[in-house]
Amino acid sequence: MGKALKRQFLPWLFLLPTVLGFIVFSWYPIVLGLIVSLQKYHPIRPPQFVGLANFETLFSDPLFVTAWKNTVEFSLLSLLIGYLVPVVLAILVNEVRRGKSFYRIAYYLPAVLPGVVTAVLWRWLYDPGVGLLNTVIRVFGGQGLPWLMSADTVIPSLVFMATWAGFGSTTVVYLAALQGVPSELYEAAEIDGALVLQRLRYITLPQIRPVMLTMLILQIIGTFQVFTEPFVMTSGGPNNASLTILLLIYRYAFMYFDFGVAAAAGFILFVVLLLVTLTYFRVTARLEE
Amino acid sequence: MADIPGFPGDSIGRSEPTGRGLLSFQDFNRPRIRYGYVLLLLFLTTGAAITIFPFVWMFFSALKDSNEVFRIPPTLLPRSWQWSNFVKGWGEINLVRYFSNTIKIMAGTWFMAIIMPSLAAYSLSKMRPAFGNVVLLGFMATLMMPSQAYLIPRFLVLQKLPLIHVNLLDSYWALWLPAIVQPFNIMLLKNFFDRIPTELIESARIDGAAELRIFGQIVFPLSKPIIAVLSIFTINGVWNDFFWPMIVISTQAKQPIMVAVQLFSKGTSSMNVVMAVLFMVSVPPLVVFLVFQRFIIGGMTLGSLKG
Repeated sequence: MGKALKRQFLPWLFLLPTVLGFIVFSWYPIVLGLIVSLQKYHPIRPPQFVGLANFETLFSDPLFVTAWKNTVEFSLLSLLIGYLVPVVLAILVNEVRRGKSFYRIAYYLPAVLPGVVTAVLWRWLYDPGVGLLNTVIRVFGGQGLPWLMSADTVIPSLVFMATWAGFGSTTVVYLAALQGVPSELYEAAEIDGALVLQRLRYITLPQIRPVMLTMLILQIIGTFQVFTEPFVMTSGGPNNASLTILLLIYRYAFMYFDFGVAAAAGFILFVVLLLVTLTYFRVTARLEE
Repeated sequence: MADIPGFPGDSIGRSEPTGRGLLSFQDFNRPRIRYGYVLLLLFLTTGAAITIFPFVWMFFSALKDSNEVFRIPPTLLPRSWQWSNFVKGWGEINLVRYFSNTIKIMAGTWFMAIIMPSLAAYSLSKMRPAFGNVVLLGFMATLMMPSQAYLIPRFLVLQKLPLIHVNLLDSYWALWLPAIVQPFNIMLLKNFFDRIPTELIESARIDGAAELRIFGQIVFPLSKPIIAVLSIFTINGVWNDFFWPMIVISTQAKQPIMVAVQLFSKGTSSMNVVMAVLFMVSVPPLVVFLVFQRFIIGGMTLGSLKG
């Protein structure tokens, strides 16, 4: 018994810091989040159990609905504008015979910029008066758009910027996947006389489908947690038109100091994203069968 | 020793993969394909130019004087190149202070996010701890947890650590300690260590080498490619990090660079100086990217295996 314990000493010494870290900063907060969501939790007063009152507060807050609506809109629009762009670009870049890495670097470049830099830069580009975008539009005889200043255009503007910032890294992943398609498949298809579009439909797309599915789920999860862009560029405005769910959580916690309601909103987000992930695993498992 | 075949990190940072595309060489005999190819290059080059342009615009705006930067219609190239904007920005934001803050945060985060997970992954891979599988499952399950969603309780944990009731807020420990939660790093490191032949470790053990020495002198050097990739991502991550430091560090003088940039951009400085600051703080990640391009792109591919 003593000997077996001794043999366990070193392995567990190596493991212990990480295990403790996971317990304290990952597992325990998940439980604590649920507990706090059932409490009246103000930083300087002792917490008090209030049942589902925080959830009731949330559901009666019209901004909670607004935040979800905006978040879902941001996510769907990101998929609509940004999901297929990297796929198409990667397939096209993959055809380039010489200088492939030039395009790869050029498209990846925006992804290298820190998120805050991107947001501040685009706040300037979107300036309705002197910004670059309206200037270009006016050169072509247009009126210019209000961009971040109007409730109708703020979310599309944020999505457009986020697409610019993010498509390069996804393109690189697809490029790697395309490089992994065995060339024998193409050769066999050519011998059978398959045309370029047929090769695309029957070889390329099926081969990168698993990666496309992974990217879809990562993009949904990522866009549901959008914070930096609206925080830096619009603070959720104008008139809460770009208030996202994470921004609302931030407001409840660090502006109203109502951590209970913030934790409740976080718990709802947590459940939603977990469901998305689990659905993804279900679908991939079924596809693999 | 480094040339054990089939190492998962072997391809990282070395040669470019040589797969082919849809078009074969025979296809290029057809004129339609050849015209199409020229159009394709034209399209991709235009796309690349549009993609890079905001960045170029940032650079030129940083060099204009305070009147020219607001001029309508704007000039593309600055009429007089105001390099002094960079000096002004450097001083106005106090770049040296925030740069050294960020370096401090980086050092501790790197230790917590790379060294600690390596030790854990090594233990799981080569030391057969009791309940190792349970621990591994506990680590991996957190891959599915959206971390932003439990931001609030994580904040509250730092405000009052369980059992010992210490408040870590407003100290760098609040950034360093949670950095140990790296399920993805652990997964990749463990996969890598699993491919190192056990005999190598066993023979060192028979020679009487201590585990920490085996780890430091055999396993760690062998794992350089994967450690390098994960380190680059960690360091970049700290440089770009904004949300979490903004929440847990309240003293402005202690903030890392991106929080400072965000505050600065909402201050009273002129737009050309703001652009100069944006450019300066983008240089380190750009240089890292251009120098370690192969590693980073190799790492992105590892990332796609995540799902």
